[in-house]
Amino acid sequence: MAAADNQAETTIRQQAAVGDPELAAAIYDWAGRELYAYLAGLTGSQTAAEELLSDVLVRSGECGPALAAAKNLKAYLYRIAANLAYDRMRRTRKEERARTDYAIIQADESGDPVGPDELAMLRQALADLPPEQRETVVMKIFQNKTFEEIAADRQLPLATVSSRYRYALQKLKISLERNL
Amino acid sequence: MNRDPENDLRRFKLAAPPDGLRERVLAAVRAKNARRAEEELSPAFRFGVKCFLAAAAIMLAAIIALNSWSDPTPTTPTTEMQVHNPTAKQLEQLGLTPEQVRAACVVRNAVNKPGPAYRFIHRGDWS
Repeated sequence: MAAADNQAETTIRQQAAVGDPELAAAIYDWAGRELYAYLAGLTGSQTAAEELLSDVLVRSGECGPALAAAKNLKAYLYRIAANLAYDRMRRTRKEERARTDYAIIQADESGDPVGPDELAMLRQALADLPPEQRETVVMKIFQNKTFEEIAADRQLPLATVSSRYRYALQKLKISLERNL
Repeated sequence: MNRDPENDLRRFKLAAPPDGLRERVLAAVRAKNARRAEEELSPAFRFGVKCFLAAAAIMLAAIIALNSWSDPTPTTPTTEMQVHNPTAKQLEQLGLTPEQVRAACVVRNAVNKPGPAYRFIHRGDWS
């Protein structure tokens, strides 16, 4: 698995260096679903995530040589995705943000049953988190990454990641206890 | 009620990506790249048009300047030209004697001052 991953990464670097038109497809196959999950969790919208993912792939093609020479390829892609997503969230008007229903968050049927009120509350609580904290929660809980992996992917100090997560959980706890 | 938000969160998941996501995303990438290529072409086209217009303006200015320098004498001079900007030939055509023409030429730089033969204003080249 790791060998195949390395092989894919090497191929992407080579394609980025020569401006191969198949670069976008290669990046999608390597990290597309992961980036989609990150963007969907961060923005709360599947439509926005889809649009942003295509922007990420376009931007990756634009900075081909830099992408090819990136020390950590996945972190480079995450940085592009985060920059685009944060730009979009800044541009989005408050009313529009309020309309985002976070339907991307769903109950996991394999676990305890979840009532519709509880689901709505959790979606609202996640939407109310600052984006930096929300992204940490999304990566930790919904993408099942460790703090080390999140820190590596987002090129952040480990302490920053864990404190963001801790603050996010505190806010979620207050929000959920107040509403449920 | 004491809740553990981490456990609460683990009862939820992200929705699976919609069907056909790969095809749609890659199609969008192709469309955006094509649009970008068009946008890159159009500034070059605009630059070309600007260069063409600038060259045309320069050529027009050069033609006007050359025309005014090469032949300042109209074939049928107007009265104003005869009075204010006469050449020696024009003065002769006006009926001045060679002496009067020479006198006029002597004071050709005395702008707005009366000469011995004519009151005139010189604004051009006499030669």
